[in-house]
Amino acid sequence: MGNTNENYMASEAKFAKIRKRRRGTDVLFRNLFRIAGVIAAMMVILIIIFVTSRGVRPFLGSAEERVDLKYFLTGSRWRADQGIYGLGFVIINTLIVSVTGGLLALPLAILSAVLITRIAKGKLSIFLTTIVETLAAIPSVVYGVFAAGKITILVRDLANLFGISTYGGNSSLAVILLLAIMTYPTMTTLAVSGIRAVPKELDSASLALGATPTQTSFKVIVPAARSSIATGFTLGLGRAFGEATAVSMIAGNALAGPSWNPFDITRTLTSTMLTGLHETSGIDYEIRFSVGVVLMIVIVSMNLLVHAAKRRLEKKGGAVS
Amino acid sequence: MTRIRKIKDTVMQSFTWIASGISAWVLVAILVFIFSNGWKLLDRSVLFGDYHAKNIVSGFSDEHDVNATFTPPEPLEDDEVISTRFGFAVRDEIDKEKNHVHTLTWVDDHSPLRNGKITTAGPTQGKPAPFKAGMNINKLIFIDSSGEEITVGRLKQQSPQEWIPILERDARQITEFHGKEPGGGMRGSLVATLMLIGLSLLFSVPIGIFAAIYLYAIAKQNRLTMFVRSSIELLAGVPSIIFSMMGITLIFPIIQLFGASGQSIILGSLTMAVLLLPVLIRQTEEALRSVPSSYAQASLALGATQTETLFRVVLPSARNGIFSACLLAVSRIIGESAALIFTMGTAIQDSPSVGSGATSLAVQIYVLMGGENPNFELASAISIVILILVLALNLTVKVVSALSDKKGKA
Repeated sequence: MGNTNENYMASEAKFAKIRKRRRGTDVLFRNLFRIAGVIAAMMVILIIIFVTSRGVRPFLGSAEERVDLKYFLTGSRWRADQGIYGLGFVIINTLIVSVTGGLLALPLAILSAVLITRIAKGKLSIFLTTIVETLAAIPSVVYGVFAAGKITILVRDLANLFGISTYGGNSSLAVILLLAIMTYPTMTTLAVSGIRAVPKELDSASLALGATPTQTSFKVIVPAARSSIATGFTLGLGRAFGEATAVSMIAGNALAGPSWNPFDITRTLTSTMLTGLHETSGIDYEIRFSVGVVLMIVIVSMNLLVHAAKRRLEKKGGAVS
Repeated sequence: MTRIRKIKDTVMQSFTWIASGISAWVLVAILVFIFSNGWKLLDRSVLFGDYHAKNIVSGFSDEHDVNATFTPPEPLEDDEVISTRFGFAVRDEIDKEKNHVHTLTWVDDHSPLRNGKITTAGPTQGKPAPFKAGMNINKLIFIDSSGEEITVGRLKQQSPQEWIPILERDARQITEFHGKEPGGGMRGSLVATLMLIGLSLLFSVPIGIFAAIYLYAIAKQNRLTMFVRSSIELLAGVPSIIFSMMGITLIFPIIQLFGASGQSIILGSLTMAVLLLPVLIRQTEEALRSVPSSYAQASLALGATQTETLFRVVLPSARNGIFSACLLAVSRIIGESAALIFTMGTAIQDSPSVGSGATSLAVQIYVLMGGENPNFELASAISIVILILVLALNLTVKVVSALSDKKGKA
C-alpha cells in the first residue's frame, strides 16, 4: 500500500510540474492574444495622433513659411505653385459630389434591395445579388479607368447637347456619377440584410390587413429596415469621401471654386492629396497631411450627423426596430 | 384590389426592375469597356515583359561562317524580309507609341545574331545579348569585302526591303547591332504585387488571428472590450489614402531604424498589414464563433489546456473561414491603390526588390492613367488581369463557404 502511495505522490508531483508548465503556456498565449487585440485597437488612435501631429506642422512653422489656418479652412483658391492654400472650396466640392452621388445611389439601392428580397425568387434573386457583389469587388482603379474612358465621354456629349464645352468631360457630374456607381453596392448590400432581418410577423400582419405585397414592401418593410439603410448610406458616403484614385483621374483639379456648375471641373480633398506626387519635402508635401486631417474630420462629422438623423428617425418610428 | 392600386403596384415594381437593370447595365458596360480596350493587347509580352524599353548595343568579335545559309522553319508572311545568310527575318511594324519599328520575327538558333555581346560601358559590358524574335533592330553595322564599315537599318531611313538585300549582297562580317527590347509589360508590377501579398499577409495574419482569438475567447464583456471592438470598427472606416499617410508618419520611422531609406515594398506591406486587420479580425472571429462550443467543452473536459484547445480543436475547425479571410485580404491587396501610392511610390520597376520602391498592378494602372496621354490600352489590359484575379478569389471564397455550410449541415 505504502509503495503505491509513494508512486502516487511521485506522479502527482510530476503532473503538478507539467500542469504548472502548461498553465505557464496558457498565460503566455493569453497575453499574446491580448497584445494582438490591443495593437489592433491602438492603430486607429495612432493614425489620428500621427497624421494630425504631422498635419498641423504647416501652421506652426516660422512666419514666412507658415500657412494661414483661417485661409486654409475658408479660402477659395488652391495654387500650390504660388504658395496659396485655400481648402474651403475643396471641402464644399467634396461635400457636393459625395452627397449628391450618395443620394443618387440610395433610391436605386433601396429599389434593388426590394427586388432582390421581395419580388425576385430563387435563381433570379441569386443572380441579382451576384451583380451587386461583383460591382462591390471591382477595385477602384478599374472604376477609374472606366470613368476616364466612358463616363467622361458621356458627360462631354451631354454637355455638347446643351452647347457647353467641358475639359474632356472631366467634371463634377462625372465624379458624381462615378461615386453613385461606387457607393451603390455597399448601400444595396446593407439594405438587403436590413430587409431580411425584418420580423416575418410585420409582413404577415400587413398582408392580413389587406395591403398588397408591393404596398407591404414599400410602406412596411422598407421603413422597418431604415436603420440598416441609414448605416449603408453612411458607409457609402464614407467610401465616397475617401475615394482617391478613381476620383482624381476625372476631377480635373480646379484651381478655384467652389464649382456649382456640374459640367465644370472640380477638386476634392483626395484629389488634392494626390497632386504633386513628386514632392517629397517642403510645404507642398506637408500640406497633404493637413488635407488628410480635414478629410478625417469631414468623415467623422458626417457619421455623427447621419447617426443623429437615424436616432431622430428611430424615435419618430417608435418601437419598430 | 382596385384598379388604381394595381397600377400603382405595377409602377413601383417596374421601378425596382429599372433600378436593378441600371446596375446590371453598368456592370456590363464596365466589363465590355475594359475587355474591348485591353484584350487585344494582352499577350505573353505584356504579361511577362518589361515595362521600360531597353536599348541594346551588341558587338560581334567572332568570325562567322561566310558561306552559311539558313532556311526559316515555316513559311513566312509576305511582309517579312529574310536574310538567309545571317538567319533572321524582319518586319516593318507600328509600335504602341505609334512609331515605325523593324521587328525581328525569326532568328535562327545558329544565327550570328545569337552571339552578340553588350558593348556599352557599364556593369553589363561583355555579357551575352542574344537577339530574339520580338526585338527591334534600329541599325546594323557590317564590314564589306573591301574592309569598309557600312551602316544600314531603320535609323538610315531604309525599309527592310531596302537594307536587307544590301546586307545580303555586301556583308562579310557584322560588327555591331543596335536593337531595342520593346517595353509596355507588367511583369515587374506582377512580381511586386506578389511580394506585397506575401509580406502583408506575413505581418497581418498572425496579429489578425490572435486579436480575433482575444475577442472570441479571452475578452470579457466590459468597457475595454467595447473599446477594442469599436476601435477596430473605426479602423475599417478609415479611407485608404489616410493609411498611406500613416505609413509615412508612423511606420516609416520604425523601419528606418532597420535601415530602410524611403518608399519601398516593405513600407507598403506594413501599411497594408494594418489596413487588412479589420477584415481579418472580423472574418476570423466569425469563423471561430461558428465552431460549436461543444468541441471546446469536450476538449477542456478531456484535460486539454486552453491553449491546446484553441490551437488543436477550435482553430482547425475554423480553418475554412480563416482561409476565406486570407483570400479576401489578398483580393483587397490586389485592388488597393491609394494606400500604396505614397508608401511604395509611383516609379514602375522591371525588377522590384523588397527594400526599394515599386508599383503594384493597381498602382501601375494609376500611373498609366496620369499625365496628358493616358495609356488606356495597357491600363485596360492590366485591369483585366486584376479583375480576373479579384473575381476568382471572391468566387473561391463563396465556394469554400458553400462547401463548409454543406458539411455543417451533414
